[in-house]
Amino acid sequence: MEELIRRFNKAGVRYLLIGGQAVRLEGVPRFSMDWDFYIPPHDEKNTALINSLMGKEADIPLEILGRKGEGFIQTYSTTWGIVQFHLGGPGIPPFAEAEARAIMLKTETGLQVRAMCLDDLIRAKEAAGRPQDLTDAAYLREKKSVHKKPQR
Amino acid sequence: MKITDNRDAKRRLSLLNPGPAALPEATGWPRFAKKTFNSYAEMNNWKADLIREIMRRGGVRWKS
Repeated sequence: MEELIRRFNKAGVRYLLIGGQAVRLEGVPRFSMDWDFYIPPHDEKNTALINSLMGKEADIPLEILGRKGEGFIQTYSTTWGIVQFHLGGPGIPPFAEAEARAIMLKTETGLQVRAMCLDDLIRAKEAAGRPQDLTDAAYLREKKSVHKKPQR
Repeated sequence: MKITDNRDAKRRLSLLNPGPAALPEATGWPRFAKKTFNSYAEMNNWKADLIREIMRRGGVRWKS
């Protein structure tokens, strides 16, 4: 997946890593089989850029969000792994707001990945509400509380 | 002291050693055409089906 992220970074794609991989890169010891990227739902230029960078891996082109919210998650099976593009969702703030608060995380190889900030990630996980999401949120809250404690 | 199945303890222990856990690589993932979902429920159902399909095929094979 790092190849795709490198392409995104180089081309200036607007994206934020969310979901299980963002949780993992925050330091939570967990596995996820897919990579979730939040993208601006109505940015046609950005969507076209992603399609061009995905190349043949996008068997059917990525599309902007439908008028009635259709296609708010679009999933691809690629040689890099399973990629899910999220164009919104419960507990997820508008893209521009989340983008303004974005942080940079590092993969285990040191690759920089733009990601949703800790507070937004916690809110999204709590809104999703599956048992795994709530476990993730609890970990992330613990991390936040540890970082808030004054150093001795 | 060994701590068994204590989620709070696991959280505390993991926070003592922060940093991304290495993602294990595996082969044997099924390929599929693009999927589009209109709700989390749809996606979650599909994901559960995908995992069942992977297991019917004998699971993924982890690279060492």
